[in-house]
Amino acid sequence: MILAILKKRFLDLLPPPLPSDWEAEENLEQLTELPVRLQDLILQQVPAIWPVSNSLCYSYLACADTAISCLGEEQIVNWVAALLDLYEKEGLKAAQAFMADIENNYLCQLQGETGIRLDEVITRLRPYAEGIVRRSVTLEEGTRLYTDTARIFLPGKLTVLPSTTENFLLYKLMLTTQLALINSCTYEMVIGGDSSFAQVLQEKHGSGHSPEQIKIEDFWNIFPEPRLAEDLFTLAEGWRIGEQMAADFPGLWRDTVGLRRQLAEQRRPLSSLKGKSRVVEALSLYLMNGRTDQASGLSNQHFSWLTNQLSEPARTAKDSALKAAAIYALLNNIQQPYEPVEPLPYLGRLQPAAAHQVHLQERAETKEKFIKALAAILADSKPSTADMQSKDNEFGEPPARLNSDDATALLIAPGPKDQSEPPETANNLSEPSQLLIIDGPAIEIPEALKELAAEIKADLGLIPNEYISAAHGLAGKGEPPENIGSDREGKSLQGVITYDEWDYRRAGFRKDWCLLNEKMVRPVKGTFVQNTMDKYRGLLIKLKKQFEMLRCTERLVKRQRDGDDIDLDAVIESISDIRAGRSGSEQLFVRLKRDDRDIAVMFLIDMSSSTEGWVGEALKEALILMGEALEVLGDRYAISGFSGMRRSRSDFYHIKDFAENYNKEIKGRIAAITPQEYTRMGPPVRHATKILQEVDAKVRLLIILSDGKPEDYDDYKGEYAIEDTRHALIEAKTVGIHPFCITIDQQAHDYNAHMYGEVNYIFLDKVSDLPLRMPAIYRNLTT
Amino acid sequence: MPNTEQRLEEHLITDEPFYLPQGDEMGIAKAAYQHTIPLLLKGPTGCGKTRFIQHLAWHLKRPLITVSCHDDLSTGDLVGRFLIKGGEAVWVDGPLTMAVRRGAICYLDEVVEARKDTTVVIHPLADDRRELPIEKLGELLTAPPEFMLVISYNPGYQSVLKDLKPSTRQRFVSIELNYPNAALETDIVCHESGLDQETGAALVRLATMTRHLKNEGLPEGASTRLLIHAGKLFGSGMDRRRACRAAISETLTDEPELLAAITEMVNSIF
Ligand SMILES: Nc1ncnc2c1ncn2[C@@H]1O[C@H](COP(=O)(O)OP(=O)(O)OP(=O)(O)O)[C@@H](O)[C@H]1O
Ligand SMILES: [Mg+2]
Repeated sequence: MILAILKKRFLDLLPPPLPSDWEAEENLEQLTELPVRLQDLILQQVPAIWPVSNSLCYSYLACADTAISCLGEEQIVNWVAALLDLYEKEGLKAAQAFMADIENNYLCQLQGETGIRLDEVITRLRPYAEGIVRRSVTLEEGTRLYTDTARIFLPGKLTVLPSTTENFLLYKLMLTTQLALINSCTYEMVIGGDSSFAQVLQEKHGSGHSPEQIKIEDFWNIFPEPRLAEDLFTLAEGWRIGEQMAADFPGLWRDTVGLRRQLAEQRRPLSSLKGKSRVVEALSLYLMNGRTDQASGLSNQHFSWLTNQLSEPARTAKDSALKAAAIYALLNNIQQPYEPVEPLPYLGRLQPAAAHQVHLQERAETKEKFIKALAAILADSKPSTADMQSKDNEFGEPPARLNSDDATALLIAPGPKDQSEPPETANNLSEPSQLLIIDGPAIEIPEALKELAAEIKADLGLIPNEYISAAHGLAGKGEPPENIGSDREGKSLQGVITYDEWDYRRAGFRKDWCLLNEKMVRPVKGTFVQNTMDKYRGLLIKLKKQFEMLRCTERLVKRQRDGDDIDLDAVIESISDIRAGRSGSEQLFVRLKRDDRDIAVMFLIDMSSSTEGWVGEALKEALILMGEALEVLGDRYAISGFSGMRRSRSDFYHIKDFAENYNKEIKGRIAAITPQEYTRMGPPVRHATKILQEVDAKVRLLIILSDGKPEDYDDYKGEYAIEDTRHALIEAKTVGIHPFCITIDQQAHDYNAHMYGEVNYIFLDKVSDLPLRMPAIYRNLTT
Repeated sequence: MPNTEQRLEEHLITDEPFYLPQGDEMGIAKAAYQHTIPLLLKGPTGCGKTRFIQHLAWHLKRPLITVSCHDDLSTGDLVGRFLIKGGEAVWVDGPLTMAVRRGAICYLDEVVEARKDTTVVIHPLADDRRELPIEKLGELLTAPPEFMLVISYNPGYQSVLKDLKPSTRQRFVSIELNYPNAALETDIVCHESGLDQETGAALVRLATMTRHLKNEGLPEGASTRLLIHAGKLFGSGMDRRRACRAAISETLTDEPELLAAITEMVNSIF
């Protein structure tokens, strides 16, 4: 495209005031050589960037081509988003550096056939990661390698190394390094502001501000050249983590020796760097290939002093900070300013800000949980529950003779209650006290609350008074959800069934509280069913075989009155009995018996709008597969869905009755399942229980598929909803039905185990697994 | 009955079985024994239930009679039956009867595998009556105080068809065993397989990783027993990755993705 056209198209994208023609031309020139498709792609992003910053937009135009060839075209949108993010957080300089860094960030020097993509290996890496860290982390494709401790971002594809095996190993090395970073608590580093180390640093480099507690970023910022401090600290941590990995994962460490050496060889030659940068690069190489004879520009003696420093034993991130400071002091004598070098390709740059965000979020979640748990205890411990019955009970007033300070004192063992107390010295407080004393009798603190308290203390050093008073506030409001009471419409409806609802606060039922309608699902025509059958052809064959084997649990039943063969044991026994003067048994035959499975199962599907997206495909596919498999097996089954809004309208959708045959109509109904409204779990579970009770089978199974979040439009949420759901499931169990819940969500909720009962549920974080897993779960459940 | 006497001798454990306690399980078991209350052991496979009972039997100096339950196990298999010997019908005690008569410890392993109609014979024996009716002999045995009934089961299996009836459960004092903590498990693995501490610890790290895979479709990770197997293969000089694959990965799952993930764990560690 010639420059003039390009310019016009560019200017058309911009809001006024427009840049001058020559300015536009100058910046667009570098695009003229590109294929039109790429030009389009690059220009498409302009409207997002220009209004944020014109300069940023020009830098973008300069780098976009490289970015695309590195990342692939699909990734460009993500890359721009990351870029804008960075600009907003850290400014133009950082964003420009990020762009310039692209080749390092993405390791895309080599493009070849030997590459490997994240989505090819993620099914292997995910369970691997889950095995290594206790906390749940998700693996995501990202524009640069890092972890915020909740997620790990990995490049979408790796092509740096000459073979697929090595590229895979690099993925594994990257992932394991990030996991080790989480396990080594790098981001949790704090240095007390009054520690002698911090003071010495302040005096030496002091850039003025001195926070009470020095976190990673504060530490870097003490130095006149924060980026140098950052890179030195990261190298020191890289060494510490490397040692850790060499100890914990010696196999991986050994497997990747050659790979790390190769990566070192691919870096910019040392001779092209000067001053501090050259030394830092030499240290990076030392970490990668273990060689102390790098052409660092320093005398051998000096450089080996540095490598010795770097390889001092280190237990914590703080030790790394000390090392970084020592090395910084030496490099400080070199005049030229530091130009950042590439990070270690498997470690990347640390992202303390992102990790901090995650930390804050988790702190907020813990706070909320703690307040709720404590409030529950406080509410329970009130002298009588009579006030629960009256709705216009006074709100928010703490129980007599307990003010929040007392409660704090009771929750934490005696000791200084100073906010600024650093966590190290709070260790003696970390043993949570066992009892909470309110108005006389001591109440034992439940395990869960103790754990929360310990967690908070580990984080903050104490339990803030604010937490306690918030719990009091919450405990005071022991009144039922407001909206529920005010809504009376719809009672006169015909054919409507009423169900009670469990109110945990008064430990009793609200009589005839919910109204439930049965509805039919109108089947849809389409290719969905056929597509599913095609997609899972292989699996289906396997499933059918597996389920057939279940059906044929033929076994010899012994001691029958008549049968296919003589039961030798029984005969011998009988003869013996007769000889012994007793009457011998007449049950002397074995019979081949096909075990009558006599199982009836109902699949109850959450069709609330919160399941939007996953109800769509995987769930329906799973139901189709189940249908096919169950036809082979011969177990009786029904499929129903539920949704609704408010207690006045719980909809219960018939998809397949026990009596109906699995046919085209049914398949059409499965295909027609779509997300509806809210999730009031109680009524449909109770209704399903009722239906199942009327089925005559030895084993009755209720399999519920949901996202594990019962919630209605009104106040049916949170604890109320959880407790009602739990109760409905208990009711089912009481009448001999086995409920089993398959919960699908990104993250497991802590309350799931409580709501469903420990062994009665399974959690899936990948919907796409459902078609595979559901038949397996069913098989497990019924053999 | 000299015959029984002799057979029972074989069940007496004379050498102290190696057992490292996880917690206060010994204390609970001894107290239950003193008060003639039967014992229910819960825990995942290979976590040391059988070994614990062996140790208990040794400590109490009682013979230990173990019955592995399966769904063909009949009442006669437990209580006893007439056999013909030299043209004469001779009554032969089943393991349960033998244990009751001689005041031994009777251990019903994996009791949920037995059919429910079989499990009910232990009901009168497991409550304070402590009686075992032998219908064919018209006899009613009362267990001496030395007799102890122990059953075990693994609550991890999710099958709805296999669960203990409350009326069965509620006759027992329960002890929950789990995989021992890392240090303890390392000691156990090293002792049993003859490995050095470092390698033992590495095996335990591997096991811990596989035990985190519940949400990925592996309900039970590698047990202590598997680690010991792997350790023994190490000891005979087999390549470690190969040994782990044989003793651990392939034993745990057939699922290709999980197998791949576990293989990666193995390769990281060994
Ligand atoms: N606490 C322990 N002390 C010593 N050895 C132990 C201990 N726990 C486990 N072991 C070792 O683990 C092996 C497996 O334990 P054991 O056979 O007792 O398991 P189990 O719980 O009975 O398993 P299953 O339910 O499969 O029968 C034992 O042979 C023993 O070597
Ligand atoms: Mg055993």
